[in-house]
Amino acid sequence: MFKIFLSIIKRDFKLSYRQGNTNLNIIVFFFLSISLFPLGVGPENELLSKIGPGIVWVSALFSSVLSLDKIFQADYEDGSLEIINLSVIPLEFFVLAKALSYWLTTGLLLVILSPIFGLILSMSSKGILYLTITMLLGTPTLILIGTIGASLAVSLKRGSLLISLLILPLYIPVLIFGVSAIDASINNVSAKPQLLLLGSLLCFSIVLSPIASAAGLRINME
Amino acid sequence: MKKLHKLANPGKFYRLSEKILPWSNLLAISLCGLGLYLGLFVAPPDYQQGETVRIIYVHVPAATLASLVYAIMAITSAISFIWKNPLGSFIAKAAAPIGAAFTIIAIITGALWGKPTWGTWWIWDARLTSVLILFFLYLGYIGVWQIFEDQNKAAKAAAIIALVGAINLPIIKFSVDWWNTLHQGASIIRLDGPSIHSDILIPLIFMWLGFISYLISVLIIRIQSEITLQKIRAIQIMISEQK
Amino acid sequence: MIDHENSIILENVSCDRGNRTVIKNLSLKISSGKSFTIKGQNGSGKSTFLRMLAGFQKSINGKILFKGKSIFSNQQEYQNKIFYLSENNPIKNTLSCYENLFFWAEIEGMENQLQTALEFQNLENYKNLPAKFLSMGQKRRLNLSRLAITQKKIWLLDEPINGLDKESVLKLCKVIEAHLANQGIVVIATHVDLNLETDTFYL
Repeated sequence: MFKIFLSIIKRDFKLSYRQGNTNLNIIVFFFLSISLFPLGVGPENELLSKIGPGIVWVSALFSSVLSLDKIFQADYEDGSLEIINLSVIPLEFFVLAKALSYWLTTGLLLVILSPIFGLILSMSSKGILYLTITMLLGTPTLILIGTIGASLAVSLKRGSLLISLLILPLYIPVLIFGVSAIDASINNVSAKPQLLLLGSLLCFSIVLSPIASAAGLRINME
Repeated sequence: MKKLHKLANPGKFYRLSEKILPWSNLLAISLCGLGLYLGLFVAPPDYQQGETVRIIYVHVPAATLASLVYAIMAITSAISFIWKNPLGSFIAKAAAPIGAAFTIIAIITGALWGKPTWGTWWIWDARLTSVLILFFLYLGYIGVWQIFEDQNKAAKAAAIIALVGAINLPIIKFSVDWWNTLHQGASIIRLDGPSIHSDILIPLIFMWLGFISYLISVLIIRIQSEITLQKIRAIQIMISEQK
Repeated sequence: MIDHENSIILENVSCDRGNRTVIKNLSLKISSGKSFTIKGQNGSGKSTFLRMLAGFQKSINGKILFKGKSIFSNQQEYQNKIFYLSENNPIKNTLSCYENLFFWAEIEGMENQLQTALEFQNLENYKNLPAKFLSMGQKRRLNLSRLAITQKKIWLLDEPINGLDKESVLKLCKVIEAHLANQGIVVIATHVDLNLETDTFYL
């Protein structure tokens, strides 16, 4: 079963490598939305460094919402999902494999690029360090929660985006703890509680969201 | 004929609800009437907030029911999901707009109270923010029902959304409280300050019970109309198949 | 010889598609060792029938039994026995034929049979070609190649020979016959006759 888990990840890697530009689009969207904020609120470095963590995190939320609604779409439409459902691997693990490969191909890129975003928003080096750490802990959670909406939306021609938006309120804890960890580090307060909370949110969603998403996929396969 | 038989199941509910409805209607009107009379004319004005305090007779019951209805939705959704029976999901469907209405009433009355008391319509207080998020969750839940054409699928999808929301709600609440203590000083005047005088408490309880009776009435009416709607649909399909 | 133990039995089964009942009070028996063909017009419920047998769709009443037990009594175990060929081809366009097959083989745990699978429908020459360059018929053949790398007992084939040439059909029939000789179960939904000994049911 673990072998199938790995082969799903391997296949998704190949697919995203060959299709390339969809993943790139997410990065571009992310970059673009971050660069729009200074245009909106003004170029003062002091202000930007203050609201920088929030800007990066809100952009991360939106870019994952906008891109995730199609994560199961192709496998659902061409029938791959049915083959997997008839195989020995439970759908819950399929969801986990999809989320993991998705995170490795997009989320990880955002984590690696986040120091750059920190720099252009003139955050301090400590803030940038914690931005990267919180992104590392938080982006997998965002993707896992997002799979719930995506699994429900998979059979819909219209309204798939709307369902992803329904998931948005569930992202609030990640946003709050992510930003407040960075704020704490900038103000020289220990950010440990926030990081621990982000970690526990991640553990929580690793266990629970595959269950919800697999249930959502089963509904749509009927 | 089988299909009609299948739909006769909710008939039991229908008959039972017919018996409850007149009583809950009566209770809703009388309790709310009494509560409003006591609250608006008998209870003394607050020494700090003056007459504005009277808005709590609507605000507090609405705010508590806003979360109560979500809890009801979560429970009925869980029942329908575990025992694979759509009825629970349909009860949650009927409850959602009522809960959303209570939430919006709580937000609006809160704003009306906030303007003279805090000097501003809206404040990013932990409670207000949580209630606003609760409102979004209601909207999301109602949205799921409208997106799916197949009502059976919608029932299951909505049950999942309600459950996921219910699991997340405490986490959201906790995170918002956390966020609030970081960003706001503790200078906000809260509703639950000193102990509440019985002159205020009694009308509040009347109003609260009245609101619950009202909730039961509207819930019954909405479920009844949902059952009728399903029957009409089934009959329409049967007729079209006979032709 | 018909093995009674290894058969699928439908008792009074009705099934909805959307809000319409397409299958009404159907009772029949699908035996192993002999293929079973369902015929009917478009929209008569052939696909619904197969999806129901695959356990994807629940019947609104009646029972489906395999080896005397309801298929939902242990759904996971039952579904692990199912090979389901849907109307769609689960092919990834950017992967080559070989890579597509390799993924399916990994799911089945049959990587060593890949060469047979490629030969089965004459696809060796297209081995490294991305699947987006294949014609509709070739895609169908690539999908059918999954039959060469499956160990599953119950085959549910939805319009398997759509767009296939004579030679491919012949090869398909051979594989089906071999599977039936092994006491396998084969259910085919089609509107074209295959050259097979078969029970036929009209929906």
